[in-house]
Amino acid sequence: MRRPGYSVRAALCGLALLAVGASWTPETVDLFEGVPIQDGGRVKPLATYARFTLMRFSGATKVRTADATLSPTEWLLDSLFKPDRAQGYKVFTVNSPEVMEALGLPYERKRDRYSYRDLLPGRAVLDELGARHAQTDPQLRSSSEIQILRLAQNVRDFEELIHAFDFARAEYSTEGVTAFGERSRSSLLEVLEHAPNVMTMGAMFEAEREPLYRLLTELDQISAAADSLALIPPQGAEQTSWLTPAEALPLAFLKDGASLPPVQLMKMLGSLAQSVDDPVGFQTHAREYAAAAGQLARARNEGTRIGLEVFYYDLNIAGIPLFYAGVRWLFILAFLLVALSWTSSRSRILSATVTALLVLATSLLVYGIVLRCLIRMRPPVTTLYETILFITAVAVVVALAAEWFTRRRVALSLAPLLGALGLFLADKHEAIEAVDTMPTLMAVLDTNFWLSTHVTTIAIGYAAGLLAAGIANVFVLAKLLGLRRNDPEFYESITRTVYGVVCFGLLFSTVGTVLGGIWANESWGRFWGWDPKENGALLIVLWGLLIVHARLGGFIGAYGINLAAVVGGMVVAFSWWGVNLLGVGLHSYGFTNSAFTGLVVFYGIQTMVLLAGFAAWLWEELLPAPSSNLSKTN
Amino acid sequence: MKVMETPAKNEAASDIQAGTPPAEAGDPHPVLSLPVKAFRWMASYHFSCLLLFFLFVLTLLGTLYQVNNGVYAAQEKYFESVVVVQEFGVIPLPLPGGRLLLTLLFFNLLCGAILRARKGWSRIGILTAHLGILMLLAGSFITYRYAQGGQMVLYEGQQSGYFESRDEWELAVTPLGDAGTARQSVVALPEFKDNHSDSSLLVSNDALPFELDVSGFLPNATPQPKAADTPPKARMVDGYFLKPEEPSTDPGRDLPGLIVAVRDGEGNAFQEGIVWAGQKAPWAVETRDGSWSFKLQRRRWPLPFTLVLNTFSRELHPRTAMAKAYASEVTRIDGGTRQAVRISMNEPLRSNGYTLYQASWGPQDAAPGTPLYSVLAVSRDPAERFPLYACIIVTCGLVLHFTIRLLGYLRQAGVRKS
Repeated sequence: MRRPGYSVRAALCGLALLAVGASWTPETVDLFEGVPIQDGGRVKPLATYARFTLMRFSGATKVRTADATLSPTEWLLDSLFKPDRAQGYKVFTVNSPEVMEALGLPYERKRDRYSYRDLLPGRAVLDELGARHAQTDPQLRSSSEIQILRLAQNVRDFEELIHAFDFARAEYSTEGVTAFGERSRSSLLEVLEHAPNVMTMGAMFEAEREPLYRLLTELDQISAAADSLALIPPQGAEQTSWLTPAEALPLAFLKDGASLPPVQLMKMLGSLAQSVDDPVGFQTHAREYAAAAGQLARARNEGTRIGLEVFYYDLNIAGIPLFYAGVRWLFILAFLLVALSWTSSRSRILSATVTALLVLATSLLVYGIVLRCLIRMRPPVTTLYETILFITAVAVVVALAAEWFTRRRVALSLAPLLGALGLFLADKHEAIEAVDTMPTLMAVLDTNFWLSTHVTTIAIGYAAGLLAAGIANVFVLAKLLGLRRNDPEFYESITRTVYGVVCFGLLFSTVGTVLGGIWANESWGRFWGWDPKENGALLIVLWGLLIVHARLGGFIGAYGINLAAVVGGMVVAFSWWGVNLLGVGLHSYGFTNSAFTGLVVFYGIQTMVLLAGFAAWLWEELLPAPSSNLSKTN
Repeated sequence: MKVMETPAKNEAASDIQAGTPPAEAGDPHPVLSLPVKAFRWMASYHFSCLLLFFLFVLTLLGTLYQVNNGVYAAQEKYFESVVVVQEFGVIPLPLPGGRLLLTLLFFNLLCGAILRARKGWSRIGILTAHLGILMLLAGSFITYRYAQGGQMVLYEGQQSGYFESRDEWELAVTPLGDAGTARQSVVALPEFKDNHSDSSLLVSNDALPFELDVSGFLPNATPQPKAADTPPKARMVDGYFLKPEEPSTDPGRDLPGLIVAVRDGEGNAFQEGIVWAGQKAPWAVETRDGSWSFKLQRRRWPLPFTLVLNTFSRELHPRTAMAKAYASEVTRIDGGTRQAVRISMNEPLRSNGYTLYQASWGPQDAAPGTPLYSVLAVSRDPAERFPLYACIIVTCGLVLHFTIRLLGYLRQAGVRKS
């Protein structure tokens, strides 16, 4: 029975929601963010599921409507409980005019977003094209074919979402079923209430069987669409798979079904779906459901760190997510100040500010990585995405350490740039791949010992190789621009730093590569198999050794070391991203196509740097330096 | 050696001279004997850099080669060869192969970094690290030369006392009837490994009442009936010939074939037949001493114990097709002792010098309830632990060396500052 004042509060809530163009109260959204769901083999917050589902559809983590900007959870709530509204949201990204034309979509730009309603007229064509392209050899699919396949899958997934609660909104034929009296149609809640009785009656009386069969068939048909969200923890520790509503529904018809926790959760879901137009009622049912589901999950020792994961993704500065757009902006700000410090007379103050900003940004980056470790109880690097975060953090920390030794402001200038670029790459990678970045691991990777030893040492080696290449780029650029022409110590300092970082990287790359071999021996029974990823690591080691021995032999000087370090950066890029693009070998779990363009651009730029550096060296070699103090370095 | 004539311009110059005997006073270019010259070249940084550069190029080429040809072909062409002929467009360029380069690198390290290097506490780290690398190279040679590797495929309830190669084959000749496998004779086929389909092998031993002439070996082939397009040179046997097939990227999938002629004591062939690895039933021959079967089987090596597969379990992450864990529960029977052991990913079984790993399982498309088999990779490698020891030695050496260098650098920086 409704309490006094209920209508007033409901009206106020409704007015508040109308004012901001939102569908749900903030508390409702908060509650749903922490609801546990089993997806991709692990129990995670619904907010994470919503985030990556939306990212897969639209490439973004926000939905902009005419009157509001929705978070992923708000969008998911609309899709589940207010499907008519969600069908109008422009969440499907199409990147190619060819695809737009094929589907009969109007377009003005090469890349646009469409709503489900926009896509409906071309739905049949999309299905037909999708089925056709699915038959094509994956290696031979064109970009448009891949997009059509993805779009077709996304539309199917969206349809699963908007129909996921049809079973809770529907009314079922109960005519002739004694337990329902004179009611010819009944709601889900009523069906669940009488479910054990109707089965008993059906077993006892012949006359009950036909209407009962009709009811069960209808239930089966409508609930079939509710088979995508595993929201219900199962009973018994031996059951590892959570249940979807479609799977949990039959439990209600067991003799003691009413008392089963999954059935009680089903009733709560039914109440939710039926109170959509009542914001306060919905919020009350949401609280009830979130508490019950969370308690059941925790009793199974699952989803115990859901709160931490919600916190990790929710943390923001003025609406900008801290991890990692916020941290990236801090790095960009530090870089701008560094650039200013090079031209300002008050560079000491600026340098101190930059250092403080860098320490703050790096600490936040490390904090984010630590949070991820705590959420998954894993070492810092388990996926390609996490290699980006970790390598960025290590590169920045090593740059700061190098700056502490050299005090030349070269490493200090480079650190924020590397930080910003690394986090830009991380965000891009996350958006393009659009899959959970804290996934479950396949059997061979499921070992914290090797992940924390081999993978982290290799990643530190990558970071050092890239940092050395970055500083070497500064060397070449400074030579080309004629910076500090009369300060040979400046260039010697850069070269010493590059060489030091190369040695640091060589230590970790060598140890990491051998550790990788030992891990391979433990897993596959052979130390070395000349697999592309193994070869990639070996290439880094060989190149590092070559630099060190060539320097010791006196075959290369400052230019040689710096240009070799630039090549070293390219070798690291090949090992990190390039071998995944080859698509062969046992280590192909990091495979991605989207890295190809970035890699080509990187190689293009670095080749130009190499050529320019070589030309600068030739210039210095061929033209005898006049009486100027231009440092002549081979 | 160039580095001796023109000392390096950096602080590493002192390192470069390490171990170099001082030149005779007044004779900066003493005449050196050929062995000394060779030793010095072998120990030089020139040679190190050359070897490292070629190894780098070879590794890169071998990696790219795998895209179209697979890892096994790349291994054979680049990493297990003495010389590689690499085609750059239409220009063939001979390059040193992996085997040659690694051998030379071993001697370069031995001569340059150990024998000739300056010894002293300040160089203890780098000396240790190089010793570790030497150990790694020596271990890889022992593995390459002496290790045995193969697999054991067992269904639940099955047992086995041997393991078999993935890509080497042998001809098993077994008398049919009561004698069974006790009188089985096995003909190893290493002579045919390099695909000499023209070569032949004459086999006679006490266990066989006849001689065998084994020829026409093809590493991957299919038997075909004679047709209009049959090559004229094809060797026909009972209207069939072996059609050569392209080797697959995984040699384990290749099905070899050969022709066996059974001869009497005077060398007259009285039976000739095709024996192919893919045939359902062995080729049977009637002789005066009874019936004999001929079949190609994967090369087998006995184990000093027997293994029984009790159960194989495959656990998936819930609601996904991704494997969470594979494990084989086995019983190891060694004489009268029985020991229950679990072999899973990253948790191999080590026993009597052999290591057994959980490698695979099948059938991959098995319906629920279908019996599964487990594939255990088996290896016997006398140098199996070398990489681990080498890794520890290299790590200690490099950490020590770079710490010494860093401290030296900091000391210098302090002096400069003051």
